[in-house]
Amino acid sequence: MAMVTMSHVRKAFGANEVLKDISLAVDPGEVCCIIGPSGSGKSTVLRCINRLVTIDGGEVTVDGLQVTDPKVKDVDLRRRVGMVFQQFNLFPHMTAQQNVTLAPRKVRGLNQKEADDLAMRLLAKVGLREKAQQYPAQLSGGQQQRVAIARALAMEPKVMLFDEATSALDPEITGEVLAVMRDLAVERTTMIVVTHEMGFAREVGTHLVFMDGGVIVEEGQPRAIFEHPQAERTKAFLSKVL
Amino acid sequence: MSDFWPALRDVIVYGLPNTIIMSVAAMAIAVGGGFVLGVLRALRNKVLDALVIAYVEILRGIPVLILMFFVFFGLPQLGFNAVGNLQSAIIALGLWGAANGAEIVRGAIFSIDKGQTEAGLALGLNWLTVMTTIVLPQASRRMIPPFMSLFTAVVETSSLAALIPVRDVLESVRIKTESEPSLWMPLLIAVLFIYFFINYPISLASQRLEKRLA
Repeated sequence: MAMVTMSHVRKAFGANEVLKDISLAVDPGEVCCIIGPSGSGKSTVLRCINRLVTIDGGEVTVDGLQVTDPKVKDVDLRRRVGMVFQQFNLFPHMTAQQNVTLAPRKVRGLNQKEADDLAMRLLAKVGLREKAQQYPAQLSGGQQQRVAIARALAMEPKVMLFDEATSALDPEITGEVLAVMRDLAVERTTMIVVTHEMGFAREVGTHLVFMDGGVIVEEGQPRAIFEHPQAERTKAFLSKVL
Repeated sequence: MSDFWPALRDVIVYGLPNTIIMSVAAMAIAVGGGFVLGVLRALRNKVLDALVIAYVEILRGIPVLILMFFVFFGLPQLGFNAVGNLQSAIIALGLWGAANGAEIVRGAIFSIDKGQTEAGLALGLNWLTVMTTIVLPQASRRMIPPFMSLFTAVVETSSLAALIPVRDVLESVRIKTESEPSLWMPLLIAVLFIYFFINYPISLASQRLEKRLA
């Protein structure tokens, strides 16, 4: 069964139709990369999955939960979905470790010791064990984003969403964040990745989606699409970014 | 002039405590009320928004002196139990301060990047936890400087209570000059110094905090 499904999803912000009839299925262990020009609705797709955006029509399911069902609680949905933002959005008044432990303590009910141990394990996983007591302002952009990934993983989500996780980083440090994402892919973490990193989409992605103007123009095997794009719009986009 | 020092002594002994009590009590209402009203705005509920906006605009739109008279002279005529002079002044100043405090709290909350709230919600935290553990701790640092300047405004505005009257420093001066009109000028100058010595430290502390929090 698919981990995340979207069928005929529509969303408008005022008169601006951002998503027009989006249907998508992401299986467990898949790395689904969504590419496309800015303003094509990529980020909105992610936000529909964890209810940061409420959709106008269609259906979304996550791990069998109906996202549009009002009986499904935010917390039950969001525990299953980790999200990493373009601007990191670390909590600046908390250390790296506190950033990671907050939600496990408040939402999963871990005690301080359990949460601290979990945080140290996850910070070690992203290579930042020695930075646990530092505040976000003392960390580089790449380090902050790795803490943000650890923070999302601390909820032990079923699927991880990455919203242009490397777009705010200098080119020479995107690599350290992509390496962490690659590790997650190797562990068969289900991931939906909105990205401009074509190399990552091609090599790590198992499923590629090209969006433009609020619709999915083309989707399939990354290598197939990169090498033989079918739609004119895909060809035009790829010729510009590759 | 031989009467000046004993008169000033009375102003300080009988007047200053009431000025300080009024200012501190009104400021406590301003901070507490401001937090409640400001956080209500953050709920983005249309009805609550309208109510809070109405409160803020009305309270900021009428002179504090009239508000004091309303509480002291007006409310008893509407059938409310009469409250004392000092209490009336505190209530009026506090209500006015809370309206200003609400704007300070709202402004500080909305100045925190929306991404902070989104990150908290995406982690599964509920709205209240996001507010209390993520937004307010950051926002409250930004509230300190404006609350400090509100404090100095409350101290200054409290002198209007002399007209109810409350025996604050200004009213104490008036009482002293009833028998000795020549004391008006020296005592008024002394009172200006008293206000200055209350407000200047608040202002200094505010500047220092601002630098430290920057």
